[in-house]
Amino acid sequence: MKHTILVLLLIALSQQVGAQVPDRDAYLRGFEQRVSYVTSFYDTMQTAGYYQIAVRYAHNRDIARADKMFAELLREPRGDMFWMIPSIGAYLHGKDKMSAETRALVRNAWKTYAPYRGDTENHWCMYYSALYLAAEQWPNLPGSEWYNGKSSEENLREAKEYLIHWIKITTSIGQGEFDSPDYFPEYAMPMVLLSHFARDPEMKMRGTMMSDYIFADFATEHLDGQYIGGYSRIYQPAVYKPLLSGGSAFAWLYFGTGTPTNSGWIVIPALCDYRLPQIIYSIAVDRSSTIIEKERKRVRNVIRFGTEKNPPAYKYTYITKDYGIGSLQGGILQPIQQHTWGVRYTYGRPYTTIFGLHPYWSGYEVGMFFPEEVKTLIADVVASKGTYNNPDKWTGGSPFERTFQHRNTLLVLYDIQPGTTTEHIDGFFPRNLEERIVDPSGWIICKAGDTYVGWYPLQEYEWKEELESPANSLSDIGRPQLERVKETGNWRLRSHKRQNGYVIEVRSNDEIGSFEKFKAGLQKHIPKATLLPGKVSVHYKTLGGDAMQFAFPEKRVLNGKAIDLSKTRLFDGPFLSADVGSEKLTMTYKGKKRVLDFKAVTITE
Amino acid sequence: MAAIKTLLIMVMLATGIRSGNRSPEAPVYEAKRDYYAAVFLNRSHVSVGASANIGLFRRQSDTLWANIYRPNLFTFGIGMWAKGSTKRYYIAAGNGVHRSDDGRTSWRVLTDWRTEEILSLALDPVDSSRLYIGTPWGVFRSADDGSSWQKKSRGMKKGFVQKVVIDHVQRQTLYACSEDDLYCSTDEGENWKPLHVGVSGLMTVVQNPVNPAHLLVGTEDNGVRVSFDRGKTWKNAAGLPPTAFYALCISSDLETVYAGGYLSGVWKSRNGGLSWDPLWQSDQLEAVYTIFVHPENPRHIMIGTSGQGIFESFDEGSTWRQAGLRGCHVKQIELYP
Repeated sequence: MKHTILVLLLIALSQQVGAQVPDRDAYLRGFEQRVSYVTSFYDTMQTAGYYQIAVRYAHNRDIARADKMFAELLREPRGDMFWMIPSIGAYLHGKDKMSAETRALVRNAWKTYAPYRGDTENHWCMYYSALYLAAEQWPNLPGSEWYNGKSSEENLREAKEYLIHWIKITTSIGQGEFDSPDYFPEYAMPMVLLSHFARDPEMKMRGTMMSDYIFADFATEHLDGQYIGGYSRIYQPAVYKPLLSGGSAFAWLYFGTGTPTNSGWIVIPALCDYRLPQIIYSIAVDRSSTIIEKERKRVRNVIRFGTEKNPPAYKYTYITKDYGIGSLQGGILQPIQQHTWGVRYTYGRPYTTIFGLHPYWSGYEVGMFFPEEVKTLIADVVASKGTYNNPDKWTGGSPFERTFQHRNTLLVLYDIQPGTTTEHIDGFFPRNLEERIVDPSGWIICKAGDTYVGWYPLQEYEWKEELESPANSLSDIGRPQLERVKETGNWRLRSHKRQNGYVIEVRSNDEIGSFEKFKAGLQKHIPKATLLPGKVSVHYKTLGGDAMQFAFPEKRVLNGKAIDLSKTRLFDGPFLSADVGSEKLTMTYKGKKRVLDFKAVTITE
Repeated sequence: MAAIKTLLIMVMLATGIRSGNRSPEAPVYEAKRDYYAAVFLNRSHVSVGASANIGLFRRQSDTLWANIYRPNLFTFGIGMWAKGSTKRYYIAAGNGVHRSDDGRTSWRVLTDWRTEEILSLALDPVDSSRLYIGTPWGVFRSADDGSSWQKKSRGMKKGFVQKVVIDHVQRQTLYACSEDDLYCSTDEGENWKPLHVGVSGLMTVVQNPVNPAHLLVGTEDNGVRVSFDRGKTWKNAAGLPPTAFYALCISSDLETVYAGGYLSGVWKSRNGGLSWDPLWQSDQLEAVYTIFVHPENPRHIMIGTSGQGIFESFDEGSTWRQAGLRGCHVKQIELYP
């Protein structure tokens, strides 16, 4: 009963933030309530787990049980960097409270269990952050006391060098695994831990600054607990049930939005002393004005089949208080789990999104990013990311897809080569739309509460009612949001034409007045397309009166002026500002300012 | 007795091994030498706590191989340097070069965050402090026992180096399989020149130990090519399917060459690789990653496969049997003292 009241209170608090940003005291009170909610779930849990251990130590409660759990788990450590972060987090929260025997067990684990470093940016961020903290805790030990044969000083130096390198490239040319609703936790956890526990004041400062950086990046593209826009990586089912992602758990804890959760991802950060600066919180929740955010990120390291190690990824995002629409420019920017564009809105949880894709897969794509033999690599990738070669999948980029977004209008074109693994394109329409009208004008006109979405297919298509089978309702790698319920009713738009595309228009009721006006407007705005192999283009005059011309792959013209994406700044929006190469991020909100200068390692306000 | 049997089965399952049918010609186990295998498993085992069974394995018996280092090490290759009583074991792994100087009791990672995956390694046969590695970002060289590494890729158009090998005769000469060509350096990696194989996606290279001008390369999509003049001119190999060939091996009889790759089975050439005949085609074989021929018994051949472990023949490839590590990707097989 008490728990139910707390949940209702938390939900009520999270409803308030859309209208007016609560002040600092109110924010901190809400934050502490959310911390209490999530940690109380773990401090009585009897099954052994690092979160349970960390909470007990932090709360100074049932230490003997925490010690026993630690000993139990350290009998056979596993999980590599996914072990390193929670185990060092639990240790750091409890090192002054645990028994000497438990301390020795933890130390011994770092000598005998050899975690793998992994091969993605988030793996390395976790690996080196945890190694850095561990090397600080146990200085002056020879290589024989560490799993990798390196001394404490060597490990500390290597970890520090990598982290500084990662921070430098991220703040110069953008994050590689950028804006990932599912991988946000893998960056937030290590950075918050560094912020709290690093002994070196400079590294502690860097941890705080990078925590600010990634939270600010999320905040400016955030709506109602959801990340808005194109993403580097996302899993099913979070791609169509957005609040299931780990990032949404962080939104709930730090922004007070979305739904209450006891996700394990947020437990250790909840115990740390990092607090979101008020300016980032304000950026996250103030949706009183429309936001147009342009960003430059970087493609994951291209090891083969490319000419540039980290080509740019360009983002364009438009957000109101009711919805957001965002896009990447298209092409292969990340392997396997790219989300090139999507509309997300506040109506109709859990299916709060409409999006489309070309469900492409190939040895070429995985060979760009992974070093193994290309032909056998696909089977290995499928073993890890089960939906990769599924023609019905809902994630992934394509070399045959490009976008052009201006405000809340998006043009998407496809010129798919014959013989490609999949030769169709798909669109996701959730079952809970209030309206999904196939208008005689050609527009598909949808109503999702106060958000109206128009989708104009440039080619013939069919509707398929989606049967969400157990296979694709499970998340790919057994993340906490496992779903086992068979669901039906979402709609798949499928078109089998290789030269293809569509136009997306989104408006809120506030923006256009009514659904009827939206419909009437769309009926007068019909795109003109050329759809021939090697010659795919569309001309379209938006509901806002702008003339957009788009020719596949890269010719984008707005009101007669060519768009040059290469001039995109690192952050360019009403709240965040950063130039490529600057290693500096300036946040502004209603006359307040916060500047993160990573060269000088300073924060100024 | 039942308990012992159960324990034995559990050990075999734990190491990913199941026994195969015993060949009528049982293997002769080596005195003072052991078989080692580099095992690379699928990517699902790197995260969320799944236990893997990959890394460096040593043969225990007929089909039983034991992981002798870390069970989670993505292992691309292995190496050994021996002189007198000094034995150094090396592993080329996803997280760096590992070396043991004390008979595999303890290991040290020699590289740091700058090198990422180590796809192959080449050890100077004379100077143990000098070693080369092939990586997705080019060739790196250490001349100080692995304490420091320098990138050595001047002259290469593409950085991805699948394999680097040292010339059998001139140790200053190196060959590197890159994404776009086979490259040669005659100055210990300082400068590289393309050998214009004529196809891209170079996967492997072998050099004939008695005729150093005789080179063969396996490619990602274009079969095998052969040169008899140190790479000045290249010839297409006849008879092979135009698929990926990852494994080439010149037999210890110094005449026979073996090749294997993706959906290719195992092939045999008796004329230095100019023409080929199928040796073993089997539905069991997806890809052949490596081929080993016993240094003193050319009738004894082993192949490392994708997902099917090791197969072994004692009659020069006429008959084969599963020899352990079923379920594993075996990237390299060696017999080391």
